[in-house]
Amino acid sequence: MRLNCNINGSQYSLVVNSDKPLSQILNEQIPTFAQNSQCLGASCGNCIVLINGNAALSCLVPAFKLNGASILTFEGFQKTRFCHDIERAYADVGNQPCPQCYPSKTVIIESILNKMDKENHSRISGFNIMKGNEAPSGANEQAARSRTGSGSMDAEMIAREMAMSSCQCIEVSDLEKIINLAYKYRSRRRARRS
Amino acid sequence: MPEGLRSPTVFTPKTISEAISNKLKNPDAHFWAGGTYIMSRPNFYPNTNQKDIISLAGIQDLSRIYHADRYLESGAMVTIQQLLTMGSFIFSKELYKAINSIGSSVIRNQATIGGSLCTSDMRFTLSCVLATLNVQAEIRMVSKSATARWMPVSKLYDRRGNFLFADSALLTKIRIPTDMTTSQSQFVFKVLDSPMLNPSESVIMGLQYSINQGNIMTPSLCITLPNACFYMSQDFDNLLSTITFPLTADKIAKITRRLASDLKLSVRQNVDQLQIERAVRLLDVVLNDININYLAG
Repeated sequence: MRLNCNINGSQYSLVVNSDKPLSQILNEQIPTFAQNSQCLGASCGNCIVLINGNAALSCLVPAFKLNGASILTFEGFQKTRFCHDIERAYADVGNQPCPQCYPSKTVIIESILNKMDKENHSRISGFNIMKGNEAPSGANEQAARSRTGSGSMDAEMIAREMAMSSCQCIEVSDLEKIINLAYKYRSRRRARRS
Repeated sequence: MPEGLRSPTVFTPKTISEAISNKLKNPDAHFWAGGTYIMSRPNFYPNTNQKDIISLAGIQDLSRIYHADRYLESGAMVTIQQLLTMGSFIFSKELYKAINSIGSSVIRNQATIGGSLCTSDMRFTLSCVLATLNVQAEIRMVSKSATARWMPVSKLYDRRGNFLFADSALLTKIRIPTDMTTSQSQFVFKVLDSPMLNPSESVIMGLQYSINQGNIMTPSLCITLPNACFYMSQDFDNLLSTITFPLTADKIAKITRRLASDLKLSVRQNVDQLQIERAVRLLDVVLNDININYLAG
């Protein structure tokens, strides 16, 4: 099949097998990607990419689902300002993932930050949808908040999200600090812009 | 493209009946939901025996979520993360936590309800949770009439955890009761190890019950060993309903012994005894916890 997609900002038109995993397509197109991902579907977590902004294990995404998709690997993500927030948090905490899992952990952190954003947003808009644009206050809002957490990540949730990457090179407590710092930097920048 | 490797034909139906008609015309093709399980199998690619694919992603009816007063109806192609996002305002805290424990959000973004329930030989967390809560599932038979049937999720599997309708039906939606929060029912959910990454050691347990005047009422227990067993027994639920609090160590031992012997009869061959022992110990812990809570008032 012919696959048209955007990888790290460049438009590609490839002839591939319809069931070929994205990780193998990226291995052929982006040489540095191949150094990280070798598991071929065993969920090692090193092949995480952003597909249309959502983190996904590229070994679990077939080619036929990618027509028109925008794919951002760590190599592409590194050039964005969002990556700089995370790198700044690494520097401030004084710890960072090992070179082997640095790309995957950074992309997972990015997906966690996106999730925190979405949860904060859905807490308001989701409530509006469910209750016919009623204001998101009162007992129901409080109940939803108690289920989903207060918008920040606790150590247990971070450990579960990070379980995707099998490398244990960095403590969960440090990751917690990194994520909360990166989220703070991002929120500040948004506040300045608005 | 490697030599001898065929690119499978991908059908992209827009309606359920079109998907069923594709399946009738191509019996060897298989339905494709999220694909997380299929693609994580060893030797998925390259594989010279690859079957054609009927991708369900384009069917709008399968991606809808509908909230009524007493239930949440969700299409089979809704991702687990979408279910969780909607459910955060509806589900009880325990149910939310149970669904939230399914992998990381990266996996939940990719895995769909239908895919998770319909893997042919492996049972994951969602099957156990939904079966315990007596969730109903609608399946459409792969036949010219495409008749629809509602049935409890627990009836989709045999005791060894095999999906009974692998090639003969398409799961289209599920209906999760949401009035549990107002009733007296309590829900306990435990999972040991990762069912996806370590299925031969993982154990999943769900128990729904209520306590009335020191008795367990209407218990519903489901124990899942992902690669070996899907245990849900009316006889065992009846045994649980004879429990009167406070429990003694003897009573708990009697119940766990019965579970151990039942599980040994239910599991597939070559199952590690340690996995059965973990399931038994898990029930032991849960019963003790319920006992402590009862005594604490």
